[in-house]
Amino acid sequence: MSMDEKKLEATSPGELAERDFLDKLEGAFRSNIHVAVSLRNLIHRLAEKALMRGIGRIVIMDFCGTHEWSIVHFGIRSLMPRNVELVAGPGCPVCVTPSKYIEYAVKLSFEGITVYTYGDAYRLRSLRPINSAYSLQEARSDGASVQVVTSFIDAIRLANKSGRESVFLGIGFETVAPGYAVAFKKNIVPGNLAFLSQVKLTPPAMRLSLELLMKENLDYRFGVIAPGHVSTITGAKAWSFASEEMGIPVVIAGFEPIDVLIAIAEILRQIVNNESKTVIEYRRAVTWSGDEEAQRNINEVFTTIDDAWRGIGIIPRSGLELSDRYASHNAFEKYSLKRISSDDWEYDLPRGCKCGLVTLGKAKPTDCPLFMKACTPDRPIGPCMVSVEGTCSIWARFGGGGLADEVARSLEVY
Amino acid sequence: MCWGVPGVLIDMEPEKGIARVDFGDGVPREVLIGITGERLERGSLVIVHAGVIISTIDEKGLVETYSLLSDLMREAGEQEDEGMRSYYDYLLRLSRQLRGGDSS
Repeated sequence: MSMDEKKLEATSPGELAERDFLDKLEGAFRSNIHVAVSLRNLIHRLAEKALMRGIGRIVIMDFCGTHEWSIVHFGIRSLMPRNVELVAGPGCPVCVTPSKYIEYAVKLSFEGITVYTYGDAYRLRSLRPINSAYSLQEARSDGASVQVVTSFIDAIRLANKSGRESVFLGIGFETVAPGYAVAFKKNIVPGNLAFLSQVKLTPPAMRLSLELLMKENLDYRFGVIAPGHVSTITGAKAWSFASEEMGIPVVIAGFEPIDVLIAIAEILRQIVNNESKTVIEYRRAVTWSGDEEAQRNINEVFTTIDDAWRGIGIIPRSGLELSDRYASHNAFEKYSLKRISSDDWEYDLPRGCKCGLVTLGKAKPTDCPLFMKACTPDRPIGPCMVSVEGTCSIWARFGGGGLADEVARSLEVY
Repeated sequence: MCWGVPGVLIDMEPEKGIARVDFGDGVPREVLIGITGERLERGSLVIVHAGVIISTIDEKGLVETYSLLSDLMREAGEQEDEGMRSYYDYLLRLSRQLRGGDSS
């Protein structure tokens, strides 16, 4: 932490003229190369200590698209000791939206109901076609009413203006949920706009991923780099189950490569000392209790349900549904659409696609036979390649080469 | 979902849960206030995700976001460095101006 603070001090706007400090930003990572080198050496020393104490492999999981991007972009994997592995966990809500619910949205769009959707969900492919359309994008080119928006407030504005019957495909995690909640609470969602809730909660998915990994690798030790932005809402307390009940060190980290390295070092330190605590490294934005007003709004507007995750199954208490008070806006109720239950859940990924395993951290994108062969960012097959937050998409666009190699070389690991 | 975009809060209507944020192009855009309203004021630097304010940041936070985003944009080939820099320059100046020249 102290090294990180020192780094921030040196670039503090108070000390430098505006233009000058912006100039200094260029190559922020490179200018902190000595900090990165110290951290890398510390990580290697700690990993060696772990080995000496009989701890074999250490698996550290990240849960956020931006952390994974930072790890890939700066080649942090190449800096790790041989016994430390960094794995991407569930950090992409679009990736886990069940095929069936995409099919529902496509069906509604063909029935003359305008469907508002985010851009990545627009391209998301379903398992089965509706009127020969496998996605909202295909439905639109067949004349259905689909409109891409960048936010719920856009959909509210457009629905108000058109007055037409419409549905918003409400995908997201805890970050966007308080925005949805406040719109309903303040009563600004027009009666003609229904909400198809696909809001997922990350702690239950974290628990499941960790349980699966622990079951399969009994002699490994684990650590968690918890998501920064989600934690500003939920607070660090949301992850304490992992450290308290499962004995896994958790660090909530910022997004800079130095932050990620500090988080890894802290996790290894705890493992070596046989500790398991939830620690906030991202102190400039995250508190232990989080934003309580946002949490209250979410609890008032939504109820927690057992929810279906694409390619994974039903995860207990892992989703949000509009509460009864807002039932008239609930697209499932309004259009008699059935929620998937554990009795009728079915595996819903395209053949060969390993997105479910990639999401759980059980497979790497490169373990998938389709990765960068049949499935590319230009022609994505699986949801993990469709969304910019999907691990496959991040590896495809930013993996290997470029800056990652350059940084690794300058740290003399090659 | 963690991708967040920084902007400057121009004004807000707390009774509607709505604020207007300038993302660097001089055009105020409507967003939903996802966090406690008390943390927000005219000129606040905010992080917006999918049209929802998910946190406030200080100037140090803006510096971090800049370096992260400029790398991302450069790598994705989406925008020139110079554009990114003047964009952040603008956000910083606007934020200070709206807060009455306070640069602390």
